[in-house]
Amino acid sequence: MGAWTSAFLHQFLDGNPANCRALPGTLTVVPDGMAVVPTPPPGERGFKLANGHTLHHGFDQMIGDVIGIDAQFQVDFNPQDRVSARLDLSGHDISLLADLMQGVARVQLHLGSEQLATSVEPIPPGSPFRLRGRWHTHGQAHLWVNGALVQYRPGLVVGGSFSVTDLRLSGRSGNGTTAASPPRLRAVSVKLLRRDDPIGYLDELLPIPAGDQLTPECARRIADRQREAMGLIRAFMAASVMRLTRAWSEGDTHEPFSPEAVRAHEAAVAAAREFVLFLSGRDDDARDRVLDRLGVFLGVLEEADPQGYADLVAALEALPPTIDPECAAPIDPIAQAHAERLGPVAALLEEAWMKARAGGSDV
Amino acid sequence: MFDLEANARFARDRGHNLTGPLEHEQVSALAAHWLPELRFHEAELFHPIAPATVFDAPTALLASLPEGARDALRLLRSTPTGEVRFDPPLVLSGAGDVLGNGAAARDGLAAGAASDEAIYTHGANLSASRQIFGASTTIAGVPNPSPGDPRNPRFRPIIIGAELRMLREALKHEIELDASRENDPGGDERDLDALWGRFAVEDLFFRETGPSNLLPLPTATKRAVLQRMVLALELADPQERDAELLAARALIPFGWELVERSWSALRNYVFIEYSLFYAYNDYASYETLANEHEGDVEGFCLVFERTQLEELAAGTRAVEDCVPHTVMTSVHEEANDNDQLKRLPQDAARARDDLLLWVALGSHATYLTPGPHDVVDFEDILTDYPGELPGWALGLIVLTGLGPALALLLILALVEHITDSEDQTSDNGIGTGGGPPEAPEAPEPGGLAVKKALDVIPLSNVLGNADQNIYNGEIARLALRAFPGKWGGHDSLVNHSSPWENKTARYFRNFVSYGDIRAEVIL
Repeated sequence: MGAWTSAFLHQFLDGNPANCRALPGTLTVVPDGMAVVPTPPPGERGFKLANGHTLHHGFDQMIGDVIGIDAQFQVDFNPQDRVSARLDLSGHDISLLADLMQGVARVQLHLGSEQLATSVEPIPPGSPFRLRGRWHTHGQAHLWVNGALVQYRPGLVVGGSFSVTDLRLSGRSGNGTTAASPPRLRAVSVKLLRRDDPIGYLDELLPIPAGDQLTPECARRIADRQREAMGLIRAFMAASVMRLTRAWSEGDTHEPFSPEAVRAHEAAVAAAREFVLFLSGRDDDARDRVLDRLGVFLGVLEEADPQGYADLVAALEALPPTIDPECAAPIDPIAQAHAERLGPVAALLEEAWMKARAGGSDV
Repeated sequence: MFDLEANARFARDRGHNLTGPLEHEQVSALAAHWLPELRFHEAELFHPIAPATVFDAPTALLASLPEGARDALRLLRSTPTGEVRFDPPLVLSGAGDVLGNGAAARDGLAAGAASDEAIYTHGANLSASRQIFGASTTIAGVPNPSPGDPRNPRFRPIIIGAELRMLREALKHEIELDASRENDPGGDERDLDALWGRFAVEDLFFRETGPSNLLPLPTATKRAVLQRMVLALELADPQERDAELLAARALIPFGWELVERSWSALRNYVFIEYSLFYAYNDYASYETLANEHEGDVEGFCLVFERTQLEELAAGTRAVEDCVPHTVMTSVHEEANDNDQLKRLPQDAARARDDLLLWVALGSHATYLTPGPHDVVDFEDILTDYPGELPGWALGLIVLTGLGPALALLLILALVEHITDSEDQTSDNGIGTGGGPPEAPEAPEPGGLAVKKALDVIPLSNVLGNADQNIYNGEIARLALRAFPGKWGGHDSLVNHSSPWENKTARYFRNFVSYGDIRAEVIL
């Protein structure tokens, strides 16, 4: 598992509309309600896509500060059907849509006032249609059909975030739809990334209680400074995305991701994975791999924008200390008590920062 | 220490019988008839085996090797007399003493020898496990698997364990077991064995009726009410039974009520828990951030309606007419809320067709659908981490200063691009076929089909037979299943081996949450 969290997963395994996994909330199904019907044959399982049919899940608590969304659904339909399927979050703030007709699929991902949209053909008859859309606050947005990338856009809702209050499934089926086997949604999944989820993910690997030693004022101050630093980092990352990737749709002759972008992405994910392995104590050799991969990643970014990179380092180093001395005082005994465990991590991060200052090079 | 004989006497003295009116032969027939088909990934290295195999296989392999090659498999331990290489496998005490090893490893399971801190191990590493238990070639005899040419299980047939638990009886057993240990001065010293207990579900049966009650409902009270209700159901006279049920309900204090759904589930349904025992979980071989550990017990569950099984016991319903109600899987940790559940069709033939499960590569999680499965997490995120740095990060910053803090933030920005772990299932590996196991003397089916064998643990009490108890007199056979210690030597935060624990409570919680439970008037 990673930093992303599942918000909703429905696989329509039987005739119980409530047989799904979701964050706490209230499920409503129209027009059939929550009635449990006998498990239908495999070909008749799923959520019927027809006028007036909706499945709505209202989350008990709003999921705020969402900086990443990954949504997908699968539609089973007959080739002669005309089908529309949509998944909406927070009303129509975020929408994933598919229109299927005569072997052509028009697919869209709406994010506030911005969107991706493209057409895909041919859709093989008789096979399921799977649509997936993913967005991240660094501005990258992807659309996949049946596992293949069909559209990519950088620069979408850069730095943005959403609040997710509910989820709605709906659809229509038009002329030619076979009444005997209407089109259906067979699987729906929504995963979200909140701004602080990566921190929480790492915290599970090295649980050391210290936050409750802070006064609310200190906690607020630390959080503010952390966010300021992350804001600078994210802004640079988003700019790097624009430099290293290009908008692309299936059929374009150019590639969406430059070789440098591919190299940076692979190195970044590898560095993060190795850091997780190192932090969880699973691999003593992960330390060197963290630094190696991080160096590759930073080197690509620095080479793509030397001035921007230098400005980022300077801006970060000009920030005030993350913890003021009076806030650090209650933490210090805890830090000392765990020095043996924290020492290797601290040494790794010291070296990582030196490498970052040197643009990814060895110091 | 766990003492199987003592636990057996306890069960016999109290008439504990987890299969209700069903005799062991009926349970076996039911479990066999409705055994789902299992499909494994073509690259799966470890397939389900019998617990005895983890004792026998290392010994057999060692004996087959020339002496010069045996040391690589032997396990080095520090002893009072110095470093010693022991033949695998080992049974270790919680203190690390060798209780048994090699051909005599099972001595470590003898009465009074092992506690729930004991550990079985054959090396706690993938290399040894692969050498002893892993598939070495594919069906076609080549080293590397491919779709349609899967790895050939090292040990055949595929072994599937099964245990039937009538839920009322399981709860009664749980409550009385706990009470006996509280009341018996020596009871605390007697460890549970792995067959027992772990059905502490009393919290599911009670909820507050109004604003938050100042007085919590103690566990003891919950158990007392439930015990009285379960015992009431054993009364033959309906009027007495209903009166006793009402009297039990009257014990529930003001401000609390019984949860109808949980009571209906307990009262009216029965589980057959199928178990798949593996020598090793090598999930980390396929997913970077996954775990691995020696020993792995996974499985799935069929739910039956109790009335149908009572009719089976009475001879008025055939096994093939006891159509399972629901199938449930087991996916990683219960806290992730990823276990799947499916209400089966009411038609026997359609239910039979729907009894198909897929086993994930390496992790051995069970799924109701093929293909890739995101290993998702539905743990409550809504109250966590409102903008706070974790404790260790704060400690780091105090120790080091700004620079490393910035490096940490940089890495955090990368962590969110790690894609989720996936479980891979496939239709291109070996499959067991559904329904009863083949006769031992039957030839292998051929192709991708492999024979299976069903090991039904006897948990039955034939009424009136004082010698029949949940151990059914088969102490030696049950010693392996009942071993309360860990079935592997991994012991880190991420890679840790576990004991063989009943999943009854886990399946019950899933069934109560998502199952199609027949509602009824509470009495």
